[in-house]
Amino acid sequence: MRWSKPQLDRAAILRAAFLCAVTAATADARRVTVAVSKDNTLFGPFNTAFSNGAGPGLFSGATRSFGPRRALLQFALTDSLPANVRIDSVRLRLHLNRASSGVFTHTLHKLLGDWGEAGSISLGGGGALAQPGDATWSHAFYDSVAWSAAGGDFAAAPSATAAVDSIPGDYFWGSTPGLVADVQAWADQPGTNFGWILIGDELGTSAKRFDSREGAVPGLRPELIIDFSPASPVEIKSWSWAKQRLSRRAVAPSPKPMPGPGSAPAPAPKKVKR
Amino acid sequence: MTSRTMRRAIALFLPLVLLPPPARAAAKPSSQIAWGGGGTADGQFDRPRDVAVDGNGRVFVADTFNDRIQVFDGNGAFLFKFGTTGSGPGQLHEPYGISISRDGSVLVADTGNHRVERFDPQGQFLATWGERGTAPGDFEDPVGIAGGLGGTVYVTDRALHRVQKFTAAGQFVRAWGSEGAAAGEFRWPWGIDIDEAGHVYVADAANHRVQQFDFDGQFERAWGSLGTMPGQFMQPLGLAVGLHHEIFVVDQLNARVQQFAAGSDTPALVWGTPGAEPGQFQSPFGIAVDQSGAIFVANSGNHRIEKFGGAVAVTPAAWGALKAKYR
Repeated sequence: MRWSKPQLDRAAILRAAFLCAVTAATADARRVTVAVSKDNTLFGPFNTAFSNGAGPGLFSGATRSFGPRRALLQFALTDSLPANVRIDSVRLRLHLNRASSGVFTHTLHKLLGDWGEAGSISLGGGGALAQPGDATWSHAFYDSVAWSAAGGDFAAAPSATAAVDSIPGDYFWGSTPGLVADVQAWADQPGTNFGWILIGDELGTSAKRFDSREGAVPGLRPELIIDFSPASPVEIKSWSWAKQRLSRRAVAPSPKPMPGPGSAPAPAPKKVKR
Repeated sequence: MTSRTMRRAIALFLPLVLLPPPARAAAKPSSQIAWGGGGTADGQFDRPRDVAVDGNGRVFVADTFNDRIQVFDGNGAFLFKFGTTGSGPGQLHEPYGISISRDGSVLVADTGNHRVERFDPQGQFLATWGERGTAPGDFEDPVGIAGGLGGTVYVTDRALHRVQKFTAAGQFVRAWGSEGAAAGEFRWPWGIDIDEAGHVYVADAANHRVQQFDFDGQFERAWGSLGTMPGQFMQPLGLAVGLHHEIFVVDQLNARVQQFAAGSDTPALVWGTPGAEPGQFQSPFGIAVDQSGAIFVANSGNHRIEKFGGAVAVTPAAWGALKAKYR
């Protein structure tokens, strides 16, 4: 088949545009690892004045001795994510340091309201008397602002689930569409970022203890691993627009990736042949 | 005053002057021996939740997460063990409570199997009763157990917020309690013990108080509230009646033991701090007192049993009796 010159031009532009899009995606993808900025544990259902705002452990699941516990986590994203980004994947990493035997599903739910972290320190898994401003089973901020529902105000549908064993080590939630949607929403509207609540099977003895942000070893504290890219993707609006954009890209490399803790090295920008 | 009167007065008061002061000034019990350590070998524990002492001074330990009972002499020397993981007769699944009945048999709250088991003093299986459920005689989370007068057995059920009373043969007699904070209601009833007069004492854990009943469950009194001051509790769990009717309460989240004279809301003694050193507690649960007055605590988070002694057990009743002796 013989192609006319205009056809060749269009094919070349299409190939180039495709290459450009792939290259741009590769060059613009970023990874940032965000340390937890606030965490706490709710102890329920009766010990409604107990909290663990400054303790080294985060608890979820239930025991016979202490009943259900729920962990709260929030990650401040504004310092780690540039404005106008597209979230590609999200993973939460928690380090398990103690657990009841057995594998239990622990679910992450998006929190719908703000909550507090103050100075209570639990000696074990039972909690300590809440300090003013701590989140408790009954209060988002003890003892001035109550949750709408005891045990925390959160989205009913989980954003992610993970099976947590009793073997100490790192456990991951995500990436899931739910986590990506949560973080995307928080990136777009930081004022809605209240973090997640981690809930275990509260009918069994499913208790798990994770390192909190006050944990002794910095590397074992909760982390959020986010892959993102600039929000404006390469799209072909018209042939003349594509030509114009291609010629611009050939001479103007992408900006350097934003540095961040744990961010992966970005590939060098490539020139694209026309 | 005649010399005869003077001599009588001296005879009356001199012994009181020479005797040690009453309870408030009594020395706190000191840690004498601790044994255990985390593990599965004989003499090691995995979070022991309760302890009991028989008439021969042998110490029975509910080695809860090893699904067994271990038996020691009063100085912590391992004697024997019984129970293996499972749900068959004589097997155990996370036993939280243990008590010695008045006939010397061993009562176990086999929590994970939702039942009670009875063993002879050598650990031979004798009987079992109960199954999972909410009907009279059923259990969800039996955690505390005590042998009462006439061989009766009292069992607390954490999840169902009630106490059940059985005959020595395991026949259901009555139940009392439901979830709540009013008199006679419970939130996580846990440790239980019965004194010689038949009073039933229950550690009402999540109401942060102790409740006292008569032998049939009629409410008599309650004391304690949430807090860290003496006389307040943060999740009281273990409970034992001492030789002089004093009540020992394991105040778990305050990592201490409080000792009350019968009828008193104010502790005569408070001891213990958080930690792993001798005399310190981490997530303590059960408590027992032997016939010499030595106190044994299931120091669960430290995976050990700790024996305390040296307390002067002077109660108002004993003090009154002492004074009466010299009248």
